[in-house]
Amino acid sequence: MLGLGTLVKHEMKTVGRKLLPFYGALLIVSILFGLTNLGISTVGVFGAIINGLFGVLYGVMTAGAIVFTAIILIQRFYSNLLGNEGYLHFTLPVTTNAHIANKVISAGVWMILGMVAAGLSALILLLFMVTPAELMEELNWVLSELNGQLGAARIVIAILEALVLMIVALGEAAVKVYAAISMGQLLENHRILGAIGSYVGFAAIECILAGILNHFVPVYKITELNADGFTIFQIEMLVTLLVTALLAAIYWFISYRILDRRLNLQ
Amino acid sequence: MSGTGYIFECRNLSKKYGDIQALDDVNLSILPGRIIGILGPNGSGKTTLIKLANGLLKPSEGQILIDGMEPGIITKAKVAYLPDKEFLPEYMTIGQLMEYYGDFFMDFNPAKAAEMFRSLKIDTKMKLKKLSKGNKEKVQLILTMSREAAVYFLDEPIAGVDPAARDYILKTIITNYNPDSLVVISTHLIADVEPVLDDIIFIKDGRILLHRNADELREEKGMSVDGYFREVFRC
Repeated sequence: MLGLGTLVKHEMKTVGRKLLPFYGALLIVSILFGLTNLGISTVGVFGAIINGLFGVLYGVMTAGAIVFTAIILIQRFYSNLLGNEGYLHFTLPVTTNAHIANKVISAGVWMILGMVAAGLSALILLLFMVTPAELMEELNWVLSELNGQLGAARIVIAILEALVLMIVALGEAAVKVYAAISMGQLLENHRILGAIGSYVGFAAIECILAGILNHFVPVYKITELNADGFTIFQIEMLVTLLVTALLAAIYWFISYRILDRRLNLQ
Repeated sequence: MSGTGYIFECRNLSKKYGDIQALDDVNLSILPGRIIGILGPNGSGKTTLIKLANGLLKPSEGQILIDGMEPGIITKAKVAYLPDKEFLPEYMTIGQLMEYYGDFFMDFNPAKAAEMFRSLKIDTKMKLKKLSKGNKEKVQLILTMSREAAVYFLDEPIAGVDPAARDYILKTIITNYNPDSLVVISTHLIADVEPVLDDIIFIKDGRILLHRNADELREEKGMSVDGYFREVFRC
């Protein structure tokens, strides 16, 4: 898509300026919390209070890593494309699809980085409680148990499938929010309410359709298939992937039609 | 290039918002090499026309063409647009904005922009949000006029700024104007803009009332365009 690379470059830079310092601060707080956890029994009330404060800060920031990321991404979609900056972005020589793709890529990348930051901070804390050798021993035990049950090849396939599904699901979640925001801007004086209402509406329609589909093609029937557990898992993953991808395509189409044909910047 | 030679055309163009007829059967055919004023009171359809030309709105009926093409990514690459609001990301420095424009618009001339910022003593390391309103307007104008575009749409370029800034903006429009381009200025501040205009379009309630050469109009009516505007649009 023409201009998509340039859009992505600028988007990454701008969002990175806000989120990377936050993720860096999260890692620092997890180190400080981990340090205060060591020898906590020897430093008295004051030390316990500091430890407690860092614990709260750590908890808030870990949850915040995902929430703050989502807020930044939603706010940027709204202000870039539907606020005054829309007069700049929609007059750039790039297609509407490129704008949507840019925002979906950004959402995927930063949500993954947010989860990685949260995961790394948890790992840092863990390393203050157990030695790397103990951690590796636990991990090897888990892997050998899984290997015994499934075999190495199936473990790798399962991990890869889970990663693909996670990426598609993140994309679908992002483009669903974008479709809701796009629909909301059709209500000139109630844009935010319209966006929230549209999102709730999408969720309701998904539930209804899932119920109807389940009536005709009950999901539990998959487990009655004459196949081993891993094959059934594969089928379930495939069905989930296809449904998620289909929903993503539908929400993308909704976003595209509205932004391309029904844009009405204030 | 359009087969007809017209750089900007409207063919039976109409735009409706719900029950409101913002533009009603507009027909225009404009050649390049002109500075045109689209003059009308607030709510007459000037901004709607410009937004349609930039692909920010779709027509309800009819067509709007830039160099023979409907607004899309090809026309956006050759149309420079200055909207009537603060539309640039405020967290960016002026230098970053110049880089942004250079990345997306092949016709952006960074040396020209840098020279204009230098002459105004605007530090390109400053963030846009730190500038005064007048300087923000100048930055927006400089970035727009530093493009070597085929068509410039300037929507109310001098509204809301002090007289000194107005003079600077009008001087910039004239001195940076390319004789192969079209400059379309929409405004309700006729007296200030009149001296730079070649042609005049009056628009009222979404309809074109007249489309004339400015000198011919002044000669025929024996008054300034501003004076004639006040007569035509008297409340």
